[in-house]
Amino acid sequence: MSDPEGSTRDLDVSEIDKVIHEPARLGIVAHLYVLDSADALFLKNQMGLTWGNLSSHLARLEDAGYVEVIKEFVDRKPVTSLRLTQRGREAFRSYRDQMKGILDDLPP
Amino acid sequence: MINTKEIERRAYLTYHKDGIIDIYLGLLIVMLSIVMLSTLFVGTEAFMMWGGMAGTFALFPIFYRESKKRYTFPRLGYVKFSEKKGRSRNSIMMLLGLGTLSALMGLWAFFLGSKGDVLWVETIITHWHWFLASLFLGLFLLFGYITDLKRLYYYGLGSFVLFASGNFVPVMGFWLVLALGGAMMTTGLILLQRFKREYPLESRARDE
Repeated sequence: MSDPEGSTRDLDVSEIDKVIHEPARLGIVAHLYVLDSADALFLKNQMGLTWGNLSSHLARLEDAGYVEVIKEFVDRKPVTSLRLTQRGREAFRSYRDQMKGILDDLPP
Repeated sequence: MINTKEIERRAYLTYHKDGIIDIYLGLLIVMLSIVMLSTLFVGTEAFMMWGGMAGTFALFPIFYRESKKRYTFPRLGYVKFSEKKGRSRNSIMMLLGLGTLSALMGLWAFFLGSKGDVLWVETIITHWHWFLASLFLGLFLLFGYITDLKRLYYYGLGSFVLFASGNFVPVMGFWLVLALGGAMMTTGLILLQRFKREYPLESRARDE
């Protein structure tokens, strides 16, 4: 891709975090970024995903070390909550900056 | 791009879709009307009723939290809003608002109990329609701002019109307060029914 001034500039998409880049996972990470924690039911309701879909995306995010599972008790009932790890937060911020940079570079 | 503020706002509004806050605020206002009515019959012991009302306001957060656990969390899911995102100001402001109301009730109870002759209180009693109209409008605007729930602004506007109309229509005060509380509770119950239809109970086994 070249710009009118003649120099060459590439859109470097190779470093985009593909774990976060998938739309459903992006939504999950974005939700957990603004919330302290949420359980799977809340995420499913907010995102409109099926249980199977949500489970597979959560497993992928957990494998990447972006999401951690917390088992806690609320009113003496066990609740499995999900929280973004520090690594996940940094990855999301980095992804957001990357995408902003890419989109800002695009011609109007 | 990704609007995290909008995501957080939507999550917060979903959390309040259940109408529980409307039910409890409405219930408090209905109780207020009952206390207002009862003071006509109780006479000099009225300060005890107002004192009891002050205590009820203080218990509101506990009842609210228990209702959330019973109706909202099993259907919507469990969520904790981030303290860092400024929602902690909501809890603090809510407590301040309820604390102020509780203190006002206590002050009123003290006045009635002491049988003192305080001029500013006499002025409030004389122009009670405007006082209540302004008080409710101010409180609803405050809670609406804290919670981002637009319907609280409408309650404020409705209550102002309701109480101000008392200047022109010969209606006893407690009827106006009862009407406002009843309308809010009804709205809350309708919202709760709608919420239960929209978010039916699911098996939580998937969570474990």
